[in-house]
Amino acid sequence: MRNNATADRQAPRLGLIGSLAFHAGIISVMFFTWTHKLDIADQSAPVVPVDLVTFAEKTNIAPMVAAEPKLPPPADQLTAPPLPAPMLPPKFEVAPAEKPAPVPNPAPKKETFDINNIMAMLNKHQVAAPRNARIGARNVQGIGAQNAMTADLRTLLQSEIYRCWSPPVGAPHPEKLIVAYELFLNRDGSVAQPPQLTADSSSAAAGDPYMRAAAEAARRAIYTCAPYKLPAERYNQWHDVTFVFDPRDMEQ
Amino acid sequence: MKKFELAIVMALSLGMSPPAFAALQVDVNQGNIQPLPIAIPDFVAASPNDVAAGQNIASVVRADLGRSGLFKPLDQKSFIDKVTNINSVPNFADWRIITAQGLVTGSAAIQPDGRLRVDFRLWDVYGESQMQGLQYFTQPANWRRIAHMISDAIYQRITGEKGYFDTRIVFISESGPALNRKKRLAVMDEDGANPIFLTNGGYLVLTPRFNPTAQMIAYMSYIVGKPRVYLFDLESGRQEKLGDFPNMTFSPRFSPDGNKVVMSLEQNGNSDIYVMDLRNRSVARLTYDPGIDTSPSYSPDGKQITFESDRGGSQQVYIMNADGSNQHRISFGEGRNGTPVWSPRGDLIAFTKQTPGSFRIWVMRPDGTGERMLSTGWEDEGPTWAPNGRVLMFTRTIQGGRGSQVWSVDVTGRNERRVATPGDASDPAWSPLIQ
Repeated sequence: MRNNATADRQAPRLGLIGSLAFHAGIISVMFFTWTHKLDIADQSAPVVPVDLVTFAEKTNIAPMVAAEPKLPPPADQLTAPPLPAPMLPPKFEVAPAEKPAPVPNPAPKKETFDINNIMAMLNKHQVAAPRNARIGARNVQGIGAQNAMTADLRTLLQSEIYRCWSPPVGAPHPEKLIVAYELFLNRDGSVAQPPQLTADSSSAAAGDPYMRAAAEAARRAIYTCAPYKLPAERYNQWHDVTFVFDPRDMEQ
Repeated sequence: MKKFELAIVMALSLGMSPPAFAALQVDVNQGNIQPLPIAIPDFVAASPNDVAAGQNIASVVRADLGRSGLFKPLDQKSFIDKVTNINSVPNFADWRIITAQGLVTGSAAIQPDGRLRVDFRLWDVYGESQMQGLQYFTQPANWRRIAHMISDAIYQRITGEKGYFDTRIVFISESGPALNRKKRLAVMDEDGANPIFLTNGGYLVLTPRFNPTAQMIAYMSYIVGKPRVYLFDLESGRQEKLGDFPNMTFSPRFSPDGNKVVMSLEQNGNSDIYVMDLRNRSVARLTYDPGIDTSPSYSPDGKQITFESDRGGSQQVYIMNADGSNQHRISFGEGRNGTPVWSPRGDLIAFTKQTPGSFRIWVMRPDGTGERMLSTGWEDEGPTWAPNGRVLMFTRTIQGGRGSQVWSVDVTGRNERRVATPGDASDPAWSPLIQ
């Protein structure tokens, strides 16, 4: 009985030892994995500022490049039927009258993407490329290594969007005019569907004309800057983007 | 024990699982401040008789928005799409090609009863949606005001703040040689149209100010030899001396509710600030110190008054409660600071800063912080705010005694430009939006 009792006491102890050994193994694997990831981040760090400098210079020189890919289809494909919304009845002298919004355009909407225009745009950028040839080579190395995570993508998008965004300066409380949009991009960098305000921004814009104006200015920036020039092989990292437009640092 | 171990294993496993893909967050805190490209074709005419009205209205709207510096009306020659019916959805793609981000379509038609009907729609070209649609009826002679109201509606819809195009400016029109300068009280539309002279130049007039309904002007005049504050009723043309004071009264300004006029009264070489209630003509004295107190201006809520005083040794900006209590200095920057005017928005006070060699328009917060320069002239003084608190006008004296002009500048310091006045002009005061 005493031996059996000793054996009973030892059985859980063995289990505990085994369990501890198992967990120690798991933890060591974890450390190995996380350490590895940290290494990746460290390696990628030098790549980031290179992107920032490259695209800022390029976009400052040619601010109108973004508008060119927006060439739409021929006019005859977008003929719209007349609006069914009737005019309001006559009002008093010089009295402004808010009219009902017309029925949304039922005309067939076409994507503005045109492969010919994209190619033309790309060709233009190739012309400008030699200015940044040295930086470009280092940049390719960073992306090719697939170890820059997404910081470089952020920088790319920032450098593209900032030339299109005319922020709401001069408004009384810029700290209240921070607008966040979520949007999905197509693989060619065009906007896949109308950008959506995040819930916080949407509720703020509903009651404040300054905020609504700020939201609309941000949306115009998103559209006018498209298509975004991003590395296609990393589409899974940038197909879903949230832009947070913050005018606080802009000159008031 | 086994449950405990299982829980640990599960927790560790969760910690090791690969992260789910989330949206790539991009913080945008730099921008490129540019005017909004907007296309404003001539308004569609219902008949050949309406063509001129349609062209004129669109022309004034283009000029208004362009003058603001926040919009860039596009050249009509670049337009691809021709608007023939404003009740049709525009061909947005054609407007995107010419980089238009906003589009205004409108129509003008004389009705059988002789009135002019004007419709307009503001479109978001990239969002492909209508942002605003309004309709006006008026006598044809009022077409210019309708154009300004349309400009105001567009400005408000795009920027979020009220416009200022349907307003008037009162100012001192100056003419004649330097030694025999004729100064006349004059009023014009914000864009310089319809100038009217209210006085004939036979006596000196200074510092005109609108009341909140834009129907009355307070100003200082030497009409009977002694400088006094007068009221001018624009509708009737009647002038009235404000109060029967033994000495000089000057620098008047209305309270935001229009019921009071605050002004300076000079006695024995010392001026202090007084307020008169226009309803019962009662007068209350607000300052008592031996320094010169002048240029009072109410806060938009009427609870405080900013003014200038040299009680501390040099001309500086002060604030007090509307009853004269809690007087304290707010300007501590370089130079002398005077002629403070509280923004209708309440967030800023504009003033004239005098430093060696220059007078310039500056703004600061009501607590005296955030001083910054707006104008860049040699001698700029006497700011007045647009009713939306976004733009200022002021007097610019041209170096070398070559006269004075009225200029405007955005509250950001951008878009400094001369205001169209008939000849030389000074002392502008902006009216509220016309009711």
